[in-house]
Amino acid sequence: MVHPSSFRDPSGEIFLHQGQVYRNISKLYKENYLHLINSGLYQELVRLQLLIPHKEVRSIKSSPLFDHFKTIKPLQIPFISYPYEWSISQLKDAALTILTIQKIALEHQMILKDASAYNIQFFQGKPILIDTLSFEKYQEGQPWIAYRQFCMHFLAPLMLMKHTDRQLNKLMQLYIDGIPLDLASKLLPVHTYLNRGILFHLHLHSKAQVYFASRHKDTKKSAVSRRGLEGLQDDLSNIVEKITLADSQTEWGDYYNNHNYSIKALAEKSRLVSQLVKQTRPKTIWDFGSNNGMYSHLFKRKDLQIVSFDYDTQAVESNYLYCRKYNLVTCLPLLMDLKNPSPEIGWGNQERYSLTQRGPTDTLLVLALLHHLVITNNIPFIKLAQWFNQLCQNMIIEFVPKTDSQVKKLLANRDNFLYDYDVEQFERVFSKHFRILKKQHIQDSERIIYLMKTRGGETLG
Amino acid sequence: MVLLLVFILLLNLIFPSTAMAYLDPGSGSYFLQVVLGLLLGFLFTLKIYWGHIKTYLQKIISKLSNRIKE
Repeated sequence: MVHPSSFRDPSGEIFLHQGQVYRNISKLYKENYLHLINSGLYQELVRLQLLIPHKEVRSIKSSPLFDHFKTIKPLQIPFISYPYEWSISQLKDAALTILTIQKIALEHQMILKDASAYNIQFFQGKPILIDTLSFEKYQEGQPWIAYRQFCMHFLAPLMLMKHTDRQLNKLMQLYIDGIPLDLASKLLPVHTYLNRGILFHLHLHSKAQVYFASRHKDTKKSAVSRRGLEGLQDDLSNIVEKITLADSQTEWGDYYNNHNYSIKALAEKSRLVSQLVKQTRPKTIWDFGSNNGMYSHLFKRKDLQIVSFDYDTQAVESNYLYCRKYNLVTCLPLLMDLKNPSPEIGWGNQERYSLTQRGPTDTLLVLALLHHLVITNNIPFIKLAQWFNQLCQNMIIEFVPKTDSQVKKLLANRDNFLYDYDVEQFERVFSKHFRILKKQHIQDSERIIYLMKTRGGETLG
Repeated sequence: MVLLLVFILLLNLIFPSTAMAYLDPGSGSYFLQVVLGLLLGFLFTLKIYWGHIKTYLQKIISKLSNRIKE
């Protein structure tokens, strides 16, 4: 079955065969593919872990009219994530990956024909280009056709996150083809006109689009020299390299320095979580409300894939920087608002997966989160149990009682809170969708940790 | 030509129009790239030559300092 997002580039088709991702290359792309392989560019990029490795396999038909040249099987990416789920450093590293690839491609007489952020995925902690067919042979004088796309997919969201608001990468969810440059230009503060890089690549770029749109110019008469392309690549790299996020405090950015666990309780909770996770023998773990990833970092088995979700930009940024610094390659921190998780978007609502579609995971961690969803966001136990049931095989969930000081704070100004928030009600409702396998109190605290298994088809009541 | 294009762009920046960029957003990117290609290509060339000059000067300085030590 051809993947619903695989229609923009006639060079090839992505399809699923026996649950695995394959790519068919069309005869149209034959010359470029052979140059990619024969010039040594493919080997160089794979060696540097910048391009997804693949194997050429026997031909598999993907669609009836496809002019087939070759079938390749790329390395399988365990979890697909999207730019609107990345923190600023993740997007920055992805941008630098594109620019580094562009530089190496030019050295091999090739050029990137697209610079879509969706062509980058995180694998083993690093951004990697997954579109093997993004290259074409370079002709002297040709411009970088993907320059505009690079600015819309990378530079605009990065600069908006840095100079306007760090949550503005969410605009990528709204604009699947990248943030329109005129919008980015309007949203950026006036002082960015004094920043040479932003002035050239975003403000002037946006104005140039408007100016030339209604004027018919022959683009064939003007050329961009190779040195010009190298200069452009070097300039964009320097601009992106310099992007850092000012370290301001967010709601959750400092949670683990500002909680109510005793040292003993915290150690006990870590021990319990580790022990229970081991019992589920997972290959994939999702950690909801992971904050800076403290519990995600407990698991270092190389064959594990941990996706560490939080809605706080600073928490996800800190988590990513920690994982990068300590080489925790199995942990992928992502921005996710569980009250409004990533939906299906794009053409026919099918190009990009929703969060639910990317499941189920083997083990779901819901630690110190439930009380926020129920009390702060008025989400009833039954709604939570129903959704979590779709997302996992096993769940480790923490219940924080009303007597806990954190819950008391949440309830302090909630006279209208009517739900039965107690342990009996919690167990009764969750038992409809899960079997409770273990229940353990965390020593030196009032909190309880459960290991539950989904009931699947045998949902009660 | 380059200066003229920069001038036109700057003029347009000061007096923005509301032309329909969605009709052909590619031409603007292309012409901007032509202009930036010339400018950034020139700066990149200077950067490379400056790198060579720096390396050359460093070699001379290290040779001189070695001679002085001897």
